[in-house]
Amino acid sequence: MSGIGAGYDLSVTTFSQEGRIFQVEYASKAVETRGTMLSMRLDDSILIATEKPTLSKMAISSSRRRVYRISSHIMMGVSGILADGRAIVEWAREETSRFKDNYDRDIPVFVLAERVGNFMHAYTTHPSVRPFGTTICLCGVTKDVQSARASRAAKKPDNGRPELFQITPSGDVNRMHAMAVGKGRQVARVELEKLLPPHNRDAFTIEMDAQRRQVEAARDTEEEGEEEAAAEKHLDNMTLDIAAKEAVRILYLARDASETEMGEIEICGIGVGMIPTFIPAEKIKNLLEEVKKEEEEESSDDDEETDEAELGESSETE
Amino acid sequence: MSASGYDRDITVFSPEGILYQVVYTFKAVKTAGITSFAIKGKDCVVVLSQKKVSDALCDASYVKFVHSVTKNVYMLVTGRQADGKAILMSARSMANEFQNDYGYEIPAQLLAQKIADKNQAATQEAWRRPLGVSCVLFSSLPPPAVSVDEEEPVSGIPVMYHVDPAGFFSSVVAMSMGTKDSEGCTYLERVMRARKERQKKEAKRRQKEERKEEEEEEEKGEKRDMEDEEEEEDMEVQEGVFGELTAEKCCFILLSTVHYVLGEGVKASDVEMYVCDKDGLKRKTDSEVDDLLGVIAESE
Repeated sequence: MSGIGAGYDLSVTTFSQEGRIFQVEYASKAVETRGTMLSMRLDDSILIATEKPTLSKMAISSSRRRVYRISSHIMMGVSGILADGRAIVEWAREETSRFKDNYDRDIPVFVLAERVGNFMHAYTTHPSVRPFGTTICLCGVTKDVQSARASRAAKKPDNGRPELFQITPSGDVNRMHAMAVGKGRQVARVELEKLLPPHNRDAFTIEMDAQRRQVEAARDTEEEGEEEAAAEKHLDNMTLDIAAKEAVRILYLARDASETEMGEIEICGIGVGMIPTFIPAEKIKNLLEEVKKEEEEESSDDDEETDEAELGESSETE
Repeated sequence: MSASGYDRDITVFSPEGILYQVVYTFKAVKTAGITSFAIKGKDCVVVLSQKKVSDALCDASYVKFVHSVTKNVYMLVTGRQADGKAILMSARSMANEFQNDYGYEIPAQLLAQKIADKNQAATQEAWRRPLGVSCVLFSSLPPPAVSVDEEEPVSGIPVMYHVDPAGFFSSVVAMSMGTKDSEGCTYLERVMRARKERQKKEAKRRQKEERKEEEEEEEKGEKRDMEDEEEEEDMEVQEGVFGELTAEKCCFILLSTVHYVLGEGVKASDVEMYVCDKDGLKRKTDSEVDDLLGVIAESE
């Protein structure tokens, strides 16, 4: 089974003739074939949801974790090879602790993200080790000068700014609005892109953000009652609870169709003033039931519409 | 030029004496799909990097190609993203060590040399691979040690060094790196040559005028030595080639290069442009870049 990288893909320190490193690309493949993980950065909170494929009926799946607390304000989701993920979690925890010892403050999320990226990158430069087969989703809430400034501009208390980082096996660090990796990532990405807010979400345009809020507040008071009852849901107007249900819905849509039952879903969120909190299994089960019912209703509505169209009757609805 | 068998290991020469893995590392710089340009002016350095974020879920405001290594030395990185961060971190670490050991900020040239040495070592030692990034170190304010006797720091002396993955570094007046580096370099060389020609003509014209004035003053034409004249012209041209470019002209030249190399569809959101002068590094806003791009498109 030789692919395009044949011959140049046996060592992580070998560049191919076009300048690619195939071992790193293969490490990413390890992530693509395993359970789905998605994450959403909301206006003031952040959420990770994963589907854990069932390995064995005898295993207590709640013990097999994929989202870990790194500190009171940071959580980390791992995908792909979970054992590799655990190694990174351990290192990140130590790094957070070291930072606190050195600087007497909580590590900002982007600092930890860059360090984790550097750590993972180091394993792609030596022939004696292999890259990590995991994509890390690092989420947390940073309270710093920038968040203080933004909160002052928006006239709200400083709850910190949530940040979501995706760190790939090559060590690339990208800040994301939302992310999805794993088997169901194609479907999940499409759904998440629908949830992107219509306005510019650039974190550095703090003044634009404050202006936007003013404009929206003015619009709300003007058009009270004229607004549609069901406003468009997007990342900036969802609460953590609504987002959790959305995450379950997306995982349900992105599930592996060949499996009869979905794996267990694990959801962890950081809300305003909260530490990373796991949603209890019972609640997730209820959410999943609701989602399944809603999806069935929607699909039966679609069936009805298509039936009418086929019969040639006009399907004029309001 | 058959590479078979001699291009898998870093520490292996081919029978023709080529290190193929180093050649492939240069190719790796192009895999990111990004091209960047840099130019040195009279008292400033202007750099521009293409910015391509194809993922809608990715927060584009976090993507940056120009980073500060110290307060006065900056680095433009092009190539593999994670390798770029790694080279930046090691540069910062080297700069910090220097500051700690010697008590003043590392000069850009020395930092470029240290980075180049590290890159070269990676091409010679099998225990790590070379990093697939090309970088330009630039600074517009020499470190305080240079001007320790003066009351005001000597401002506005721009320096620019290009370090490539093989460990070669040199001071440059203009540079292009990344996917379309050869087109970029060709265009910038053309600009340089055109400026040289223009300034030669300018110098000749000025000399003629001066000579006319002197003749009118003395009422007698003296025959000058023709060779001396040409030497004087050449000297003027050498200093003037890029030495008289203001920040605005540099921006214009770089955006013309972008227009030529990357095509007419380039918008301000596709590039990030920085001007480094005695006041430090400033990013050009999208509207400023759009205005300049509009002027360039119209002048075609």
